[in-house]
Amino acid sequence: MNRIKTLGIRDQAAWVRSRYPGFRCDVTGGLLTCRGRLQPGPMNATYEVVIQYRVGTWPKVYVPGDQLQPVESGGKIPHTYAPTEPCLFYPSRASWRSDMKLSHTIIPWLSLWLTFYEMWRATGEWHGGGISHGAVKELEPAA
Amino acid sequence: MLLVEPQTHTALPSNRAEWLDRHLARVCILSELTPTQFRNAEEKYHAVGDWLAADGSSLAVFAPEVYPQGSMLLGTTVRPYGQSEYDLDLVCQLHWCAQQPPLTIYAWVHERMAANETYLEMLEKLKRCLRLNYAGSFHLDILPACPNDRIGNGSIIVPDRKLECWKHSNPKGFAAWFLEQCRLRDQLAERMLKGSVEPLPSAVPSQYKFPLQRIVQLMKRHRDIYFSGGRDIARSVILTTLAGGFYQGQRSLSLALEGVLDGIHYALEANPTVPKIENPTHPGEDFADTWDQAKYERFKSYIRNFRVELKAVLNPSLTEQRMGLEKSTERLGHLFGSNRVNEAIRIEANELNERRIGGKLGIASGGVLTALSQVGSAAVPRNQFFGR
Repeated sequence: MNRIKTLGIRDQAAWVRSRYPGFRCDVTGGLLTCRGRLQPGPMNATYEVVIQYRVGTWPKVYVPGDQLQPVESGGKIPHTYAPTEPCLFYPSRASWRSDMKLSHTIIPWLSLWLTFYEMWRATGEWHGGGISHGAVKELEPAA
Repeated sequence: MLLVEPQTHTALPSNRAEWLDRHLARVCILSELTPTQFRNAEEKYHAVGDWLAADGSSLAVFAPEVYPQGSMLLGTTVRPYGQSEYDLDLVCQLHWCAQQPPLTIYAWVHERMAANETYLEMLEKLKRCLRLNYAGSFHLDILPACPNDRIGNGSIIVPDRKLECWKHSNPKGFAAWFLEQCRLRDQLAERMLKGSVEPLPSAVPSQYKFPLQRIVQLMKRHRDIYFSGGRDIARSVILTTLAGGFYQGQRSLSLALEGVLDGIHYALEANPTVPKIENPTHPGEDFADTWDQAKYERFKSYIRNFRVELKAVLNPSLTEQRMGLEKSTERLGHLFGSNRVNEAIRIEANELNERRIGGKLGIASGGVLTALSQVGSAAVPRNQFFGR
């Protein structure tokens, strides 16, 4: 099997900045944190989002504060780890690998997720598909 | 047949009006006869025509002719709110019969219809027309008529509401006027395809419809919800006449609808008392002659409400913009019914998923999802959302 060419943290930051000039990226102790705003489409709200990534771990995304809301108070938002943390991909090497650019995967997937989130808020139905937690065991990230 | 270019969207909507154009078209498609239902209805009325004109028919000597009128002819059918059956109106035009009293003509047509066993079972006598019930699908209302030879040009006379005397009507003339309004100032020459047989917009598959046809469908749909079956419900012919009169030829459905509602709104506000709404093809005939002040006020508030809700979706306040799709969907639900609106969102989601699976989804630098063909967009790889 071909070895994958892991992208360094500074390369990841550079790609995010070049694709999304509005995003601010910092690297502290090997942890990349990118903050920016996403509006998935003309009908959608604009969201403050945070992406965190350390080589050797799965990228994490946050939509901080109370920007995301369940339909009923105390209810669950589909495809989230926590009320501020969407699950964008099934954690396996087939979904995301360290040679992939955050700018070309995680950020567009977050835009898509937000689109389906708003459709869910509007209609009560999740149209974005996906895999349920618990159906499969979480795998170790690709290093 | 006269056709408009089908709407195929390579790009995702880039502004609210574009999104709304597609959303409203979906709401209309969900509310109208499907092409199969339409063909089915056509077959049925042709069969009625054949039966009335067949050898051995008592009516054959009057050379009966059956043709659609109203929404089926105009291409503006909308399934009545909360019902599964469409109302489709037909004219059964006899010839050389204008000297007879309406009751006699009505009785002749009924007699011939009842002579058919199949029809007899589903035949219903209404006040001035005969109804064929195709349960679960539609009913055909057949209005007996005679030519109005004094006026010509497709003019006919039809029984009045009490079947006591004849009154003027011209469904073909009205449809011709409406079609002209549809094509108005739209530089349609370039959008039309060759092969003109008969300008029957109703026979056109729904994705080929003109914005004005869609506007009338949307006005009828909101009317059905706003008046919720009340007795003072505004007649479709009034909506059609006003929409046709105020349409400015915009291609964008949502902006055209906004323009029509603006036009009607200002015209009504300038008239504190009941105005005349004249038949554009028969001056002197006032479609609003049964309105009293209360009915008029109710109609005004229907237009006002429609306009306010639509504008709020097109140009939301900052607060509503922050609420995203949810707020717009709520307002559209007030206008057209939340079931229909949710179904339209589901179709939008399906289209988005098709792009996603087909690798045709891109993203622009602001995080806005776009078509991959759009300049400056990067492809979005496939993913599967995870989690409960």
